[in-house]
Amino acid sequence: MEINIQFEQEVANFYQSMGITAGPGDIQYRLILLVLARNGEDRVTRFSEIREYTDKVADRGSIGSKLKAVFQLEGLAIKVGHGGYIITHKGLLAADFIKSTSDYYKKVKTVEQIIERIPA
Amino acid sequence: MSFGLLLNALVCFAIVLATSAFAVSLHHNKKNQKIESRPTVNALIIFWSLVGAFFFFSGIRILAAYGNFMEIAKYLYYIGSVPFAFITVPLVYFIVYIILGDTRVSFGVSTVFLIFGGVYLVALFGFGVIGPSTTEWGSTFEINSNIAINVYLSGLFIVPTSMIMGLLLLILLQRVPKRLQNRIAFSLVAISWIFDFMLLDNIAPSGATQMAARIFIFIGVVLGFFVYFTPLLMDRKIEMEDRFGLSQTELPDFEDEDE
Repeated sequence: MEINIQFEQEVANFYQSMGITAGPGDIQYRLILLVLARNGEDRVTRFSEIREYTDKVADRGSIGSKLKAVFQLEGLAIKVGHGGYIITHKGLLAADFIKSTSDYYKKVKTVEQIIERIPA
Repeated sequence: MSFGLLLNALVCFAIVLATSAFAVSLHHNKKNQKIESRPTVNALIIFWSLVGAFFFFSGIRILAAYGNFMEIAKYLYYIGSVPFAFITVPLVYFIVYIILGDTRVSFGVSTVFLIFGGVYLVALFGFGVIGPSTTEWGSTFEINSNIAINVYLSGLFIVPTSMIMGLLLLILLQRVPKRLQNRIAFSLVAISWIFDFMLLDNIAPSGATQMAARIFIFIGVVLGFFVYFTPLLMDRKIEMEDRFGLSQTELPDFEDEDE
């Protein structure tokens, strides 16, 4: 599964513009969850792997605290050893939800583009 | 010859006037449009111009029938068939471009309909027409070719009408601002309305049917015009309704309330 940082940023901005600042509107949350979901329940995701995507949008400290305060606390991922994380079933459900928010964004954009092409 | 024929010609020229005004207004308004919608505006201008051209020749043809110049009427029918055969080309371009936003694909699909139009004309000119049969209200021709009628019905009308209906459904099912939704829906309904009555006009079995179809076409053109160029007063009223969710006249009366 390819993760497009620019696209995810666009989607996050879209939800933020609707007042949804957490979850779908949070770029850090989106990227962490997508990287974890890409590796699945059977593979450990290294913190460095997550940072490959998040370094462009956030500093290391805020990603670390997001993993601890949101992902571990809510049971979306469990920490394995030093700097490793595995997504849980609940985390996979959250990832599915995030993917569906991307689909919704694409749908809204498609309709917006169709409307723009209609003479006003 | 009867007064009905003159009235028929008058309706044709009214359609020509309305479509010309529409096409010219769209052309003048083009610079106010977004870049993305310019190709669709051009397609609409061509569409309305072709409708106008068709009815211009139809109007003269009816006058020729009124003056009993049957051979001239026949030639005018053939000339009028040219804009008629290619009317689907800008329409298909308009719909495909709105849905896909790709000028090359839209151009390709409309080229298919250009070929359809060409085949229709070849069949029409090859096999000829029977007529004219002039009655009190109109002058009709019978197309002497099943191929032409089949191409005309399937290629030139059923497919584009289905495309219009598809686009209409797509817009109506989406969460689009109500005012915009109404404008788009009415403009598509106007196009479809005109399109279908033009079909009826061309295969009308009698002069009265032809006359009735033309009156409906005129109504459709006027509807299409007002969709894009709404009178200022009506525009303000709709804007108010949009802003407050109800008409100003429906606002509750506060006279009896304590200050």
